[in-house]
Formats: sequence, structure tokens, C-alpha cells
Amino acid sequence: MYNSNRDEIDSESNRKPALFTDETLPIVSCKEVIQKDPVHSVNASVQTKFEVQLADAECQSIKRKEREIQVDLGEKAVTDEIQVDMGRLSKFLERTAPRVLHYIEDNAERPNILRHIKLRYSGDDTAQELFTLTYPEILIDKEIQITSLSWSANGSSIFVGYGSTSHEGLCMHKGAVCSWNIERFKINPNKPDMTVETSTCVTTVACHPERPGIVAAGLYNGEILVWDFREQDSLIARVLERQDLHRDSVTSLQWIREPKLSKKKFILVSTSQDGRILLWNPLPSKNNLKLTDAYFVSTKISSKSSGKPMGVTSVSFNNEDAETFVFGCDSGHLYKGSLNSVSTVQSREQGLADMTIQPKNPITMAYQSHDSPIYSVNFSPFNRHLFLTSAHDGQIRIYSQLFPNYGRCFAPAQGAIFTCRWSPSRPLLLAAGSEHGRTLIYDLEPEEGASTDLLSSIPVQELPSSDKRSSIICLEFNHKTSNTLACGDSAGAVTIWKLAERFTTAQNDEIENLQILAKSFGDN
Amino acid sequence: MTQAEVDDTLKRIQEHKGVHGFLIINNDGIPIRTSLDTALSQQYAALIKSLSDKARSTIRDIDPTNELVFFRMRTKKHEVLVAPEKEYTMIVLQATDVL
Repeated sequence: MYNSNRDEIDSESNRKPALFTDETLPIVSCKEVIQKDPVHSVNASVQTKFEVQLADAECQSIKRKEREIQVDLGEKAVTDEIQVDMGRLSKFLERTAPRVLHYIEDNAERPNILRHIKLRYSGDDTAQELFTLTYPEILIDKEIQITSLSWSANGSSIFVGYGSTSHEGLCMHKGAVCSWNIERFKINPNKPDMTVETSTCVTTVACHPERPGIVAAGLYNGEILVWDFREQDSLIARVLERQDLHRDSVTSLQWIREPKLSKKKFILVSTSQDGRILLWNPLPSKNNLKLTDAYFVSTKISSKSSGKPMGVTSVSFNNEDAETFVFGCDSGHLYKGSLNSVSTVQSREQGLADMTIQPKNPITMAYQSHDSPIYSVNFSPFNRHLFLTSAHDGQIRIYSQLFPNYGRCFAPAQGAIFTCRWSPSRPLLLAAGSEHGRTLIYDLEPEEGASTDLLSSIPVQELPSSDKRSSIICLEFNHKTSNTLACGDSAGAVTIWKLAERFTTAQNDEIENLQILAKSFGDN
Repeated sequence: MTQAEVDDTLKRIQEHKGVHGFLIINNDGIPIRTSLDTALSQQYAALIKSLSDKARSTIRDIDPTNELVFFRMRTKKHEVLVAPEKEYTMIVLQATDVL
């Protein structure tokens, strides 16, 4: 309770009577504060200035079907359906047969002088260096060099595999496959047309012999990759089954015709330091390489060794007999193998039993071995018996597949011979690449008047490597233009040579001379 | 009868020394009698026919009164003898390095 003042003021004594009076209050005026600014208004009309374009088109989805057809030559003889008038045919023969027989006899009697005429080659023998191809970016790593070469199917591009040959443990290098098209108008020798990098060193490259764009490469870690450079996504196949992979570096890859089934498709053959020779299925099929056949080479079984693998360094298939091949090993042994062999492998090597196809022993015959690793073997394209081998001991040997001992041996004293090849156009010519940096060309042509025993044992020509010092690691003849030879050396450069006429055009009797040579091996 | 004579003559040609094979084509270039395999016969028929026509027209152009009777092509491996006529053409392959 509070005391309010009102109570005091409001008491009876203080009240007075209210007096009301009228009052008028003055008018209060307030000023107008309205702004009398005029209202701004603007008139404008808007219109799109450009022409509205209209177009209409009809579209429809079309379904397409594709089918390839091919004409095959019929087996039926055409002569069945042709009506022949015997009378007129007989009259025709009466007229022409005597004349034809006259000339046939004439030919038979005339001495065949033409075959004894030997062409004398005019012009010099020097080889012309066309290009030296390098790829400086990959050669920044000083250990990288060229490991393998291959010409494309049409002979106009060369594919080069880069890798290193000195590895202490795991491979830490990046390899690559590069290609140059040497028939282009302007080629840049220092920049390849196309490059593909790989995770480890590339040890071998092989182009498909008929389909351009398909290239296979073997890597240091045993993988095999196949590319098709005409496709957007170029890697088209690799080995899927882990147990089929090579355990060691792939030493060589080759495309050969499928020997058993259709003989039309090509299959891939790979050899490796793990002693296996494997055959892979033909392309294209489903992005993976499937094993179709396997062979395993092991050292001799004794009580101590359990059949250790013998590294296979190179293989060559016979041109006429597609199931026979020759392979050289890391130990210097040289064997003939057959795809028909069924003998089993006796080895306790790991991983053999897991493979999808059980490997067999391919060996059918052994030849006189080299004392050091064999680097390259090559069957002659002109003679079914002769083949060439080259090894670390610096020897180039010619063997006939019928006899175990070699027939001819060249020892040019130029260090190890890393590669050797027969010429595809001249039966008696061969080329070899040496450690001391020279490509040696040998001509087996017998000297006039001399017997075949006295073969020239010095090279008829020596071509230097790009910097005159680096070893020639690989060489390949171009099968389409046979006077072109590509040599890859350890400095990372590929030299393309154009050989003189004398080394590319065959004489009349060269194939016979080669056969005589092959037969003479049996007399030794 | 004439069939036997025809066969006899052809056999004589075929068995002559060095003869690889023979081929008789009609004027359409179709093989009538042949001792080669089908594919090779077709190839020879087509190619030799056009060559023979060209040769014949060459001789005719040079001298209209002349006419082609026989021609031979000697190659490294064998000799091709061609006897062209109006209705039929005979082609014989003979090896040249038999001796």
C-alpha cells in the first residue's frame, strides 16, 4: 500500500465547482510538404531486332545391318560347262601343235646360255644412309637404348622398342614403342609419329605381317601387350590369366600362320628367359590373349637339378614346314623343335602345373652348341634346310637342319654378334650386327672359278652405327622394299640404309648355289 | 574319234621334255583343256588373253596385211609359248633350266 498524493488533493475540502466555458481554438495549419516534382515517364517500345529463324527437318532412325562377303574360287573345274566342238578343236590342234612342238624341241636343244651370263653391276657398292631416327626425350635416361625393331605390314613404317639391357634387380625404367613413317614427304627424324609408353622396358616388338596397325610388344616383366593403332583405344589385348604369364623377360615375339587349323590367321609366339615357348590365340578376340599351346625347355634332369628352366633367347620358324622351328638358348644350346611334339616335361619347376595348357617338351634334335648365349637364329627364306645363328662368342654360323654340326662359321672378331638376318631378296646374302658398332654384310656367292669350299669369309661391306661406337643391337630388312635395312644401336638411334643394287637383286642361279651349299654341309 | 586324237596330241605336248603344263582357251578367255590347277589356269587365261590381244593388234597396226602367228616369253624360271588363233589359243609352259 502506498500513499498517493491524490487522496490528499481529492478530499472534499479541495473540490471546487467546475466552470465550463466555450472556447474556440485557433486553426492550426500545417504546411504542405508534398513535392510538386513532375513525374518522369518515358515511353519506349521493345522489339527483338534480329530475324527469328525457323528451320525444320525430318529425321528418322535407320537400322543397319552389315555383312561381309567374299568370293572364293570354286573347286569345280570350269571345263565342265563349256561346250567344245571337238572337230574344230582338233583342226586347231592340227595347225598349231606342230609349230608348238617345233619350238619346244628348239628350246630343249639350244644350250641355255642365258643362265651363265652374270650381270655386271655398274655403279658403286656404297650404301646410302637415308635417315637416322632418334627420340631424344626417352633417351634422357642414359640407360635406355633400342631393344628391338620391326617393319610394319606394308613396309612404310618402322616400329622401335626402347628399353634397357642393364638391370640389377627390378626394372625401374619406363619403356616405349615409337613409330616413324619413312615414306612421308617430310619426316622429322627426331620426333616419332606415334609413341606409346609402357610400364617397364620393352624387350621385343613385332608387327602383324598383314594387318597394318597391329603391333605386339613383350616387356621385361614377362607381359605381352598388343595394340591396334587404328582404334581409338589402342590396347587391344593382354594376357589375362596370371598363371600363363611369362615369369621372366620376353626375349622374342613372332607372328606366324596358324599351322594346324585354318592356316589363314596369324598367331603370336613368345619366348622368354623362363624357358617357355608359348603360342597365343589369334586376334581379334575379346581383348585378351589366351594361351593355345605351351612348351617348356629345361636343363637335363640329373639327381641334383630338378629341371631348371633354360632361357630361350630366340626362335625361328621354317618357311616351308610351319610346324618346325629352331630355337637358341641362353646356355648356347641350339635345338630343333616341333609343334607336333607330345613328349612331356619332367620338371618340378614352379608354376608349370598351374598353366591352363600343360607345357610339352618341344625338342626333336640338338645341334652343335655355341659356347655362349645365342642371340639370334633365322631360317633362310629361300632354302628349307639352312639357318643362321649368332652368339656372344662372336661367331656367325650357318647350319643345315639335317646335320648336327654347323656348315660354315664366320668369326669377324668384332665382339658379340647380337643379331643376324638373311636377306629377303638375295638368297646368298646375310647381315649381322656386332658389338663393336658395325653391321656386317656377307655374300656367299662363290668366286668365279673357285669351288664352293673357298667362300669369302670376310664381309663384303661394313656399315657403321650412328656414332660409330655403339653396338648394333637389332637389324631388320624391309620385306617390301628389299634394299632398305634398318639398324638399331645402343645409343638409341635407328639408321636406315639403302643398300646398293648388287646386294639386293638376285642372280639367276643363286637359289641353286644355296642348295649346293646346303648339300655340301653333309660332306664335311 | 576326234576326241581321242585331241587327247593324244595334248599328251604328246605334255610329255615333252621340260614342259610344265599347257592350257587351251577359247576366244572368250575360258580354259577348255588344261593340265594346271584351276586357279593358275584362270590366272594365265585372263592375263595371256589380254597380252595376246594387245600383241596381235600391235602387229596389225604396223602392217595390216601381216598377222601374229606365235610369240614366246622367256622368263627366269620358264618360257611361255603362245599360239593365238581366231577361235582358240594354246599356251605352253616350258622350263628353261632343265639342262
